[in-house]
Amino acid sequence: MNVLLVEDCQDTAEFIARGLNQQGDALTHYTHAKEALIPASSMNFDVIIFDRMLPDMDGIDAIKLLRTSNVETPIIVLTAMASTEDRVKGLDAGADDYLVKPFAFSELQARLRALARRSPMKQVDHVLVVGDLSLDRTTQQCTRNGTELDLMPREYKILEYLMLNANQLVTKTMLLEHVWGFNFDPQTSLVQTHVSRLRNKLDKPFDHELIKTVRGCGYVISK
Amino acid sequence: MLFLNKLFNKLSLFSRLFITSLLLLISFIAVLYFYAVKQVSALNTETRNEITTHIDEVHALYKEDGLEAVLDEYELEDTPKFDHQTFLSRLDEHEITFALLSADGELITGAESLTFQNGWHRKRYRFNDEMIQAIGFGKRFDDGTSLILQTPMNHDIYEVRRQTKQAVLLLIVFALVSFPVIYWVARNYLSAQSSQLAKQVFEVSNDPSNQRLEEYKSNHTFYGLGKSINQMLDEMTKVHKQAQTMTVGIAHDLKTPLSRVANRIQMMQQDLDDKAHMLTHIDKANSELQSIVQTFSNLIRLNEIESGKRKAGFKLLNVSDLVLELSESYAPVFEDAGKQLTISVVDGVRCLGDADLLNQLISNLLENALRYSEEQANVWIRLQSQFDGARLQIGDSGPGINSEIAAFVFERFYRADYSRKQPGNGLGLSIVKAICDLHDATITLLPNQAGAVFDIELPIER
Repeated sequence: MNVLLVEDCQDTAEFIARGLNQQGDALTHYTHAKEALIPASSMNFDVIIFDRMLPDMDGIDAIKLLRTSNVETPIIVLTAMASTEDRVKGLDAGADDYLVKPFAFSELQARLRALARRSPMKQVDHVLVVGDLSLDRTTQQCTRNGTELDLMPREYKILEYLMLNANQLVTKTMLLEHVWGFNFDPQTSLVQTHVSRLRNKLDKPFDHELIKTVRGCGYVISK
Repeated sequence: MLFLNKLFNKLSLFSRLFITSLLLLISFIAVLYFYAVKQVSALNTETRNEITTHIDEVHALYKEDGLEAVLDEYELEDTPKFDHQTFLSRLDEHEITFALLSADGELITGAESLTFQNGWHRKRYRFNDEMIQAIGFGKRFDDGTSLILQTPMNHDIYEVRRQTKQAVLLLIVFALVSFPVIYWVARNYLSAQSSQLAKQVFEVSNDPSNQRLEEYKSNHTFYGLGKSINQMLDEMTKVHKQAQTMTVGIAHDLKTPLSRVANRIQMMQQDLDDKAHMLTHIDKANSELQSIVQTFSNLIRLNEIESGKRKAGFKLLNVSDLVLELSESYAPVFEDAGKQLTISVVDGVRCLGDADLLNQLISNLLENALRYSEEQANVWIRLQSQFDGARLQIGDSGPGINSEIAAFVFERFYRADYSRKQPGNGLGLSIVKAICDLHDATITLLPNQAGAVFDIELPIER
């Protein structure tokens, strides 16, 4: 993955660089928004990470500039401001995702993967397949190894989101945001409970486990 | 009126007193003047009545008994006609003066200097260096003769005028003398009262949390001020206590996880070569740090809700759907914990609000029930439609909240268990309360219940 990072805080930048390096991803780093604008629009990045409070301009304004000059690279905004108003501002400006500092690297990584994978060709899949599991998004039918599974609405939504991001980590926060629409952490086993119920239907009757727990981070679905 | 009031409030004590005294003085003078005018006009009427009766009597005498009778009546046999000087001396002695004229205007008898004027008239004459004011009346009779009568003004009128002038003068002198005295007394009174209040405030300031102004109740001038100072002290004490609870809360919530992190780091030093143990330590330390971050996120969230900014983004929401979906999501969580969640929701309840916040409101209350209710508790969530709104109730079968601490449950960092052994940071219910306030909803912890039962009255859109 080829990532552009615009972040003035050296510590945060190093933290991200180290993580991406370990994963074998390429990183280009700028500390000022104005330096980053030309490479962002001329080079081919998979994802751009933008800090909000930059020394020369607000990240949000920089994103607006990029979007008005037809740069369609997925953008994730990093910010210390957690209020919904800021979140909405970021998304309205054209950012695709929003992450509040401090964050775990795994959280950022999961979101980066989810964004990078959101390439136009994969968006139209009607049937999602992982190993012997398939999910028809039009009929909402789920079958594994020829057996039809009866899923509750939440379980369906969780599975759909996991399968859209198959082989990638999906964090608890991502599930809370996409399945429940929560922008807060209820500090509960809500996600675990529903994932565990989903597993009872999806994995228990079969030999091979599809959903794996990444301890302290989230879940991955893979064959 | 409001403008005048504002202007008056800006003036100094001196100007206020001065204006008030001046207005009082002017009104006293006006009353006196009015009284004098009334008196004078009564006296005038009396004189006029005399003249009108007299004029007819003189004419009747002349008609019936001829000129002789008139002259006889007025003792004018020797001088039926008299000159101006005699006329003036008669006026001066308050004798009646008149002139009787024949049809062709010839003076028959009376004062030579009087000329005919129909109706009422007034004249001024100078006699022996004195002014004489006379009031006169002229009348033409059917036989062609005409009669003019003049008499000096009633002497009492002069008396009334003189007395009025004197009274006004006296009033002005009195006002001039008394004003500085009143000003001095008022200023001393006010400064004595304010220094008494200041003394009390100073005494209270030594212990503002427990003491209040007492004597202001007998102090009429500063009653309102004393009361406001007490209210301000109450409010400040409340805020101060909240800040104290918050500081202690934050300190606790930081100290406990931070000491655990410190412990883990020590253990890491001991287990440097044991990778499995190291991973456990890192995991635990990480989750402790997460709880600190969570506390601060909650504080920021609470602040954001209380600022009221989110009200701008309120939308029409189907509360029934929202409550139902969320509770159904939670049902398996309760089931796994060995508890039962009973859901009862009426259809079609709508309100203006923020879905994210209402989700958090319900989620926090359900979390609370999940965490603090007895084993195998029955927990319920009900949404009912009421006459003037909707009622959302979230309750559990026990053990409930002690009535002594019930009043504090919505305060920041308030924790029923002082040991803070249970997870959480005492902000959940504060956030619930803030969300209710933002939605103009009221939340009550119902008293005398087996468990904790929260009742929320929500204004709805029909």
